[in-house]
Amino acid sequence: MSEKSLGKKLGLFKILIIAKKAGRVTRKYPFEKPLVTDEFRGKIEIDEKECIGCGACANACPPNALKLIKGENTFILQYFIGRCIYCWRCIDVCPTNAIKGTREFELATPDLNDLYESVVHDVIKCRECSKPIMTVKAKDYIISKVSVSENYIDLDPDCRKKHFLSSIEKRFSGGIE
Amino acid sequence: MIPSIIDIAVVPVVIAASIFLPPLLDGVERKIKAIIHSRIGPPILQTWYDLLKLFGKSILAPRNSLHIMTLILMYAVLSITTLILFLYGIYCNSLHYVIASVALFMMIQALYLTIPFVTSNPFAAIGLSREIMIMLINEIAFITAFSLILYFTRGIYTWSFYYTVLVIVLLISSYVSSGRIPFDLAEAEPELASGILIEFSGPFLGIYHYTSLVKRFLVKIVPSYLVLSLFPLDPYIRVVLVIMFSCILWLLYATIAPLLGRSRVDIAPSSLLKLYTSLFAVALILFILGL
Amino acid sequence: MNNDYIEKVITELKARGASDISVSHDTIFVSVESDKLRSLVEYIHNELDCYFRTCGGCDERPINGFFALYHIFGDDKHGLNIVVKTYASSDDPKFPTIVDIVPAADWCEMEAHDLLGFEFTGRRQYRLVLPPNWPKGLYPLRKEVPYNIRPKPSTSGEQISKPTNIAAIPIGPYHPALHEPEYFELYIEGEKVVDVKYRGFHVHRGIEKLGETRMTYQQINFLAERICGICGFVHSTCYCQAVEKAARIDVPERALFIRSIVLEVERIHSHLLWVGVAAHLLGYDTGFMHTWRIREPVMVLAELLTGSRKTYGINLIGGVRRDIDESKKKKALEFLDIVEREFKTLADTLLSIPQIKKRLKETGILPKEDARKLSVVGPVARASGLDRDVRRDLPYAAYKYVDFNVPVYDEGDNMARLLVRVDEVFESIKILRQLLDQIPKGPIIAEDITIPEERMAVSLTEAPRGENVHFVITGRGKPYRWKVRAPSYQNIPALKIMLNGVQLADAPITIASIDPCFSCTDRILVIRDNGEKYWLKLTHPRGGSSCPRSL
Repeated sequence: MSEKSLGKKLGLFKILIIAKKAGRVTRKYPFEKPLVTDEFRGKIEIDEKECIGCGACANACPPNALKLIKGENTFILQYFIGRCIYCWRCIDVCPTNAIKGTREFELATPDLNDLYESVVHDVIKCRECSKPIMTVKAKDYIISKVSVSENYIDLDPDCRKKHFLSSIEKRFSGGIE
Repeated sequence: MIPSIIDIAVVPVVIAASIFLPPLLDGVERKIKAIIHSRIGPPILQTWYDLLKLFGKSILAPRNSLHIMTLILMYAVLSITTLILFLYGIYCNSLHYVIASVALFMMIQALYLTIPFVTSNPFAAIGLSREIMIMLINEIAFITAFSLILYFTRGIYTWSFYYTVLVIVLLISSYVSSGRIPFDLAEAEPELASGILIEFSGPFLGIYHYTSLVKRFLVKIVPSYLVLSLFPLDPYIRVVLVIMFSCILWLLYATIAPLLGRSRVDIAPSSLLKLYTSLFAVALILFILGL
Repeated sequence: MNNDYIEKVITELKARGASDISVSHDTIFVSVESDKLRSLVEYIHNELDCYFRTCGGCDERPINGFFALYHIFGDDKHGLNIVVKTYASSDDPKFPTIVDIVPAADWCEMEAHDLLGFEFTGRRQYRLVLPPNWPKGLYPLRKEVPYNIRPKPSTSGEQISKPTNIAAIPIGPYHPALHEPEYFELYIEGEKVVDVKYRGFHVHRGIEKLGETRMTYQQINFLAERICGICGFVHSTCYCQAVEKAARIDVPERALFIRSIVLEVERIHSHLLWVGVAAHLLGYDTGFMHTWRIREPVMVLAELLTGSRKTYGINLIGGVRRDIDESKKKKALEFLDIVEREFKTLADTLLSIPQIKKRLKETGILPKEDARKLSVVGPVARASGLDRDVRRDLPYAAYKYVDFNVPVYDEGDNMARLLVRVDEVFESIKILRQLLDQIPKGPIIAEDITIPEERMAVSLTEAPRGENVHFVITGRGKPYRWKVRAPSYQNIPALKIMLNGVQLADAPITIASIDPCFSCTDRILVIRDNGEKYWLKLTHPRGGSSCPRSL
């Protein structure tokens, strides 16, 4: 009992023993390498060859760091590192595994333009109204999975609807326009 | 009397020590604190870098109180003068210099108390009122103990029991006076309600901080001097040993401070008062008994 | 929770005017007319001895043309939640106040008043969560108001403090002692604090509105995680649980275990952080440095298990995204041994410092009756003698498979709150060892989930700060209404009582002893423009997570 109370009284000096055992734990970052484990989630890298421009990653991205910008002749997948929260949801949902995660996190830069990465895709246009539908690679991917879609994939959804409605009309009116 | 080479050489040593040592010791203190915290701290010269950076900033005097600049300069110059005077007095072993240093020390502390009151900032006054409560008890104990020793021994220092007790009082009050944890109430206040430092910035803060370090060194020289004067020593060896002993004392305090928590403004003065009155009573009894 | 008790309660509620009663899992949903609300609430709060959890308004005009107000009560002894719904017409949303029966309802009623325009009859109404220069008449949570509206600021008519001849010390909104912006006014006489005025909600981010407009179900997990920088995972888990309860999704056992493991790791790191901050506020910086040094292996463990030191991002509706394999399990057990050993020595040393003991004992006392009236949660409640812990009373995730003690102290002072948290660290380590030992094999996520519309659910989790309530009404692709009540929201009103009579120097440690997480508390304002943050005058200069403690 007396030993315990003595230990209690000298308790505040125990910190010196604790400090001696611990040593100096300061890490001389950035002059030393940072302490990241193998599991760390850093920024992503998009492989332009594998990416088909489907936009699944842009749908899943919570802060909208990935955007599929739909232009007249190109679809651009834009990755803005400034918004990325390194959640790797895009990697989860990508159908072709085109996105890889890295362990990089030292991304600060004085020039904002360094933080934008883009992948540019060519698009196919509707054979009737010439509106851009999807990227060429997405079309090839869909055809490889569902070969019958080759017949109507070059129509955009509105034209496809019109075709479908007119074919129903034809059927019910017995072929007479 | 023609001064010898050593007499002449001592003066610059003493002046250099007084001016350059205090911030260096503060740097070593921060390093010791860092070791107890198990981290690498700032380099030893860090306090000098900080002070030099502060001196390089633009001068911003507080509104409504131009006297502050005069008072702070007076405070700084007086402190350094007192330190140099005291060290030289130790060298010459002259009681007059020592007594003059005590008087100057009282003046420095009075200035320290007046400066925050001169600004018209109520928060500075609130912070100062906290500081005063401790200072009143502590500084009076310090000066009383020192004066009692000088009066009883008349400059010829011989060991006795009451001498030891009074030196203990000096050691404790020098720890409290330096504003370390557990008694750094004034420095902790800027965290909450703004304290004595809020009206200073740039060079004035630099001067104020530097002077507080010089004062810390000064209060540690007093007990070292009293202890070392018990031994017969050559004057220059005595001066050097006093300086070294004060440095060791500083580092000892530096090791004690990180081990404790901060006290509170109602607890600290009452506990200090009890401690000092009991020690003084013991010392007087011992003196009367002739010990 | 047994069915006889539920039947009895339902009969009693029916006798007092409740209708539309339905029971799902552990929640009883009732509806009541607004004139019978007060007597029903009195019965539930006083006679059934239920705690008040929160109340939330909802704009249901697109569905049924009315405004609705949901009061959520909890019966911890029987593991039940009772949700009481009242309606008001869309042109004149008036509700009777319950603040005299249930003092804890003060803030939630004012929140509904600010954000939805509800009028509460019988009480003084004031603006609480919106800034003073938000224009009147614009109610952000109503469905017609877009989430990215940028209104012109109006002139502010709010008076922060009345001139008195008692000295008032303002702390905040930006102050070196505070980690997050909040504004306290302490009225002091001499050195004693006699009154406190708190004005918070400087850090609104519009999370509830975002969740209802711009994000989908699976995206909100990540948003919920960023409600708080320290206890983010409990928010994410609580949200997932609410949606899973509403949609009746079966989460695989292994996922539940992984969620509990990560929750306990978060609790350990949060309590270690708090102990360090408390030591720092008392001047004992050595304790601060050493506690955070011991916390470092816990952060590395979190990164090993989930991929990130703080915002883990592994929760999805239906399960988790990352698995724990054998090597990780072994590493986790090693780290836990280290942390337990070192923290035991450090806690003993910390409690033997005389200044710490003197300053923590008998300061900031919260008596048991006041704690009960204000329905405080978490370690604050347990330090005042209230035996409440959601992990034991309404078990969720894998807590029904482990056994642990709940530390309860009676004094209600700062020392008791410190001791509760220190004990909880050791309990968490015990729980973690049991969980890691018992984790079953199987899938980690439920595939192919569907979330039907118009279902309601209440879900509770025990954050390190107390009990966390998420209330979800499902919609199509995203929730129709998502209400979050963080534990600090419930605990901050208790500060008024705790700070009474305390010395000024003890005010910071008293405020910190409820472990306030102001980011959890302030999350309800709207303004965003394409995802950019737009702040009105009194606000936080940083973007991103407003909790600076996320490391």
